[in-house]
Amino acid sequence: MIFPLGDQALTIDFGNRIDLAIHEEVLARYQDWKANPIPGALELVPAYSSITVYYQVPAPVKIHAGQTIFEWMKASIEERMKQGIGQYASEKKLHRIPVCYDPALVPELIQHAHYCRLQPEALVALHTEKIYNIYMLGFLPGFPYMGEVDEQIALPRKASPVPVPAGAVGIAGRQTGIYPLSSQGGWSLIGQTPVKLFDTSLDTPTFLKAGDQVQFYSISLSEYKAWKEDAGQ
Amino acid sequence: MSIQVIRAGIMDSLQDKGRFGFQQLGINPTGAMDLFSMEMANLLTGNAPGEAIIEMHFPAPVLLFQSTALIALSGADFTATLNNHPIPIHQPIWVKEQDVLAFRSPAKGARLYLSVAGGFAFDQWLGSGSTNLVAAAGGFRGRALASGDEIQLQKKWKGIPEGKTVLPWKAGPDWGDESDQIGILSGNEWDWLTDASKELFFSQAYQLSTQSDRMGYRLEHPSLEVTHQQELVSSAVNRGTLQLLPNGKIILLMADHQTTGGYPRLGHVATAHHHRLAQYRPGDPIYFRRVSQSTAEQWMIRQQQHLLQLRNACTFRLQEYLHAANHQL
Repeated sequence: MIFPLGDQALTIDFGNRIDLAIHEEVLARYQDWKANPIPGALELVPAYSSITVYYQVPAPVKIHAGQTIFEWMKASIEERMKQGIGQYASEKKLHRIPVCYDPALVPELIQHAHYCRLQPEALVALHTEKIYNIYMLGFLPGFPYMGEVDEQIALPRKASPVPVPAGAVGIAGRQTGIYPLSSQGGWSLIGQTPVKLFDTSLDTPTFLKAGDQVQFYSISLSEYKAWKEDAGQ
Repeated sequence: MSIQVIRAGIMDSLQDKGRFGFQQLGINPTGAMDLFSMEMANLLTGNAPGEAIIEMHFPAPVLLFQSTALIALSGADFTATLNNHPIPIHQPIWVKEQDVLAFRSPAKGARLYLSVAGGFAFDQWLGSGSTNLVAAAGGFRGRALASGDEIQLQKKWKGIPEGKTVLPWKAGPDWGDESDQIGILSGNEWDWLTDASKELFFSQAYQLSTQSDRMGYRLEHPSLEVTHQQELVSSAVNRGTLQLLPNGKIILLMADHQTTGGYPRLGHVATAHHHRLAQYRPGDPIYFRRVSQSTAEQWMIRQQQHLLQLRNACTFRLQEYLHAANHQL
């Protein structure tokens, strides 16, 4: 389904759900359309199960009388959608990310473990056990939306956003994510990584990208502090 | 070749058309809230349409020019003064070393744009000079201007030609849309609203709450109701998107909006009306009217044509003027 997102963008919806097969199609189309641009498209943003195309149709393009720019863009995308897609060509880079799950650093871990009826250690074990897929970056520069966590540690969002430090690792429903920057945020926090996920001095300022994979591993508070010191943070 | 911020305003920042091509990394585009006025200010000083300008709110800053410059103001009217003498908006104006630009009161609108001929020096980040406050990058050190800051100017003038310092041509902001209602295109979840709420949507007045900023406007209005709730997985959003919060209130996404969202999209403000949104102040009543895709697109094209005509006219006047004055510069 293709629908307008105002008068300068449209979204292709592949199914409105979190599903790895759908997401692979999203990434494959995204890759294809980046390599072979759609005329008029300025920017593509892949998400869980959609691609949004921001467009501006240049003046010389002939639009039929009575046809809107949206309809013209939609027709050209539908034409492209008829073409088959190859396998999503990804190295599926696996990032192993250290996280300190010490309640001294993240006090709310205790209440979340209680909510899950688990010992904090068991919650941490479940969080570090799985390899997560990065479905998209969004919300904040470099913020990875990853899934899916074990249903035993699915946690609700907070009623309203609170200040969250850079590096905080959180859970919202079956999703898990890392705050690359200090921000207001509503996810339930369970840990803190010393790794810098966003650096404006780099050409590609984000460390992670959609399609990559992440596995967390637990480090102690002293290891966390040593890491931060080494990084001069 | 610089201007000094003697006293900072409430939120003065360097902005341009925005930083595009990085939303897939979660990097929000930012850019001037009122792109139309930004372009007006630039065309008056002979700059490229997307040259970085200073966006100001009220209380606005007090600025000391440490060198000669040709400037223009556009957008809100904050009763600008140069050395305590009123100066107009929408006209090119010469300022000389030691001149002080200040603003008395917010007569009209909410955001004022200052351009200088040749542009400001700024931090380029990912191809844009816009200040990204959350990433603390771009513009002037990635932040709002503070008292004592010095912003370098790119162009050096030998002097000011004899004659009037306010140059005798004006660029009008009117591009032929008299209605003061904001045009709304339907969003994908529009049909979630109850029939009563659909009617209310276009009949009720909205007000900007005081919790409104460059990221988004929270609107005050009687709550809207939906017939059903369905979980939406997050997808990309856009400037001008009207999202319905769980409490029945609308949040309208503006220049610094985050890149993705998962709230129902009731509608989208027509691009040709984005500049008007930027000029609302808390308490101002806002009314919506429905527009079709084709009308919104035609408005956008007409507005671009208006700016192009103004650009041609102003460029011609400025070139003619500078040519005549050349022996003095």
